[in-house]
Amino acid sequence: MTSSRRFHPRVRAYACLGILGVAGAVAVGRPELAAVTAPALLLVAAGLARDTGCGVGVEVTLDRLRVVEGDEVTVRVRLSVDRAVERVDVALALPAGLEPVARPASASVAIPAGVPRTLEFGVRASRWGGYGVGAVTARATGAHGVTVTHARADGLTPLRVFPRDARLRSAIPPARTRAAVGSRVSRRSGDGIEHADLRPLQPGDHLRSVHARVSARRGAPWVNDRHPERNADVVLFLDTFAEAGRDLAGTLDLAVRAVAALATVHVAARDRVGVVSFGGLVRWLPPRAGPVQRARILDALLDTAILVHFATRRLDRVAAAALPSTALVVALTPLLDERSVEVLSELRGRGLDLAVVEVSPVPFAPPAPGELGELAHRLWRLERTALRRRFSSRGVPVVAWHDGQPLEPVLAEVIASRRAARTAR
Amino acid sequence: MAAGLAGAPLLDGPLPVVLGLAGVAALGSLAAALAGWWADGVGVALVLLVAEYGGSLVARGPGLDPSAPLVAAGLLLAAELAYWSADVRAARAGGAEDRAVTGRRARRVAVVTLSAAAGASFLLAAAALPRNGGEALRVAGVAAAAAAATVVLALLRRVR
Repeated sequence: MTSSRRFHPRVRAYACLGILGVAGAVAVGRPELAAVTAPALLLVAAGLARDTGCGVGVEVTLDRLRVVEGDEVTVRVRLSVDRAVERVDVALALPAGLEPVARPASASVAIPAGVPRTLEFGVRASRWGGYGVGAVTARATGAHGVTVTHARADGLTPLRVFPRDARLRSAIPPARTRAAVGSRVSRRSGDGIEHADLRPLQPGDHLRSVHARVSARRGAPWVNDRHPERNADVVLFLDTFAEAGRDLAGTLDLAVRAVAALATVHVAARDRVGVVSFGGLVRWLPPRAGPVQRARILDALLDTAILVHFATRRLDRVAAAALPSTALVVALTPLLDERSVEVLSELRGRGLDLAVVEVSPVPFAPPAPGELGELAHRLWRLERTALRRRFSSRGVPVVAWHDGQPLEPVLAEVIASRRAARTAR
Repeated sequence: MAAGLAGAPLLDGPLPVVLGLAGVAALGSLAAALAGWWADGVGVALVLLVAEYGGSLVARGPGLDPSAPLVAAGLLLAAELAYWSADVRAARAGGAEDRAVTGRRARRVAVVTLSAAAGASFLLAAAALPRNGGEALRVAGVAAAAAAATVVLALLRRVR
């Protein structure tokens, strides 16, 4: 905790008044001037003799360290003073993304010497992210109003605010599955629930797979072949080269929410889910299954930020384990940076199963006023349309997602586009 | 309160323009301080009000002014109320002040005001006594004033 002590402004004012008044009284020979101003001087002298400042203790704690957007957190500020004071003024400064429940987050309280007092402030987490809470300043005014001790709490308590998941009913079905058991119907045949085909009995088949009627008709044992349930690898690819936005809302905010929702639905489908954040900073989580992986992904997302960087980034920076060759890669990108377009092309070039959701920056980039501004904006939108067609011609459907639009229909369009692309092949 | 202090000398008759301007300037400084534009505005307002009062004493001629204790009390009351307002704004409390704090402040303001009136009355009574000490008494008065100022400065240095 850092603290400093200063004089209240009245000390300088009363001291100057007293000295000037007494000097004036002597100069002009009017004792009334001394009578009027001497009390101020004596007040300051008495206050200075008795009020030598005090030690102020400030401790900040939170009742919860991990919450979801929209939740409220109670910030407890424990104050203590070692001498009698007139009052302690407390103010809690909050970063953007957190807001006080009752405005303002400050109070003026009386605290007896040696008896700590705890104040509670309600804080609402309005946006996901990692925050440091604890920027509390306390001003203790001495009992005679002469000294003011300023104190600030040391350190910040980390608060993790997770994005509120959009509930998705279905995930994007991957083109390829793994050998491990999951919830997806594989194209292969083997043990499962979905009927695939009928074939003659082979050594190793279970007797309960024998189809009685077909076997009787054919005069030889025939068995049911089924599609086994398998899981898949899904990699959520987050473009952090650039973003378009206003205040706290923007393409990165939308993309992070989408990644959180997709991670939840794919983990629920028993897929192995990984994340690659590709931009100025390259970070990844290799695909793994289970709710712990979902928690890891959400934790990693909270630290996502745009770092402006002008170097080229290549995919060989990402560990091979983070991008398995059979994985479905769902890319969430505003397609603002040429480097992100190159990376997506490289992903496709490696033969990865790629689906692109374009987090549209158009709502966050209104046209400049005037005819030229409108024309430039129209050209920019046409360029983006051409870029989407370029990807589509390579078999990578790109579906635009606008701010305010629910994610579910966008994913349905992605699924339909992928189906159409497979049929066209 | 400050407007009353600025206007009170006018009740005894017209004053030189410069004294009137001092009163107006004092009110302006106080308003700036209350609006949060000028932290030292309260101190400057006090000095200007006392200057106006001193000028009115000189303009009025010899004879002790019996209202000096009221002026002293009014001056400190106006100052304390102004600092109360400034402290609330600086604390950003927005009115969320403990009742105990309000009570303590009100008690301190009352004590300061009454002490100022009592102290000024005592000093005025002392000044009204017959002066038989001549030049020695004058020198003693100057020495006492200087000593008071020295004590204050010494205390300021000690507390720092």
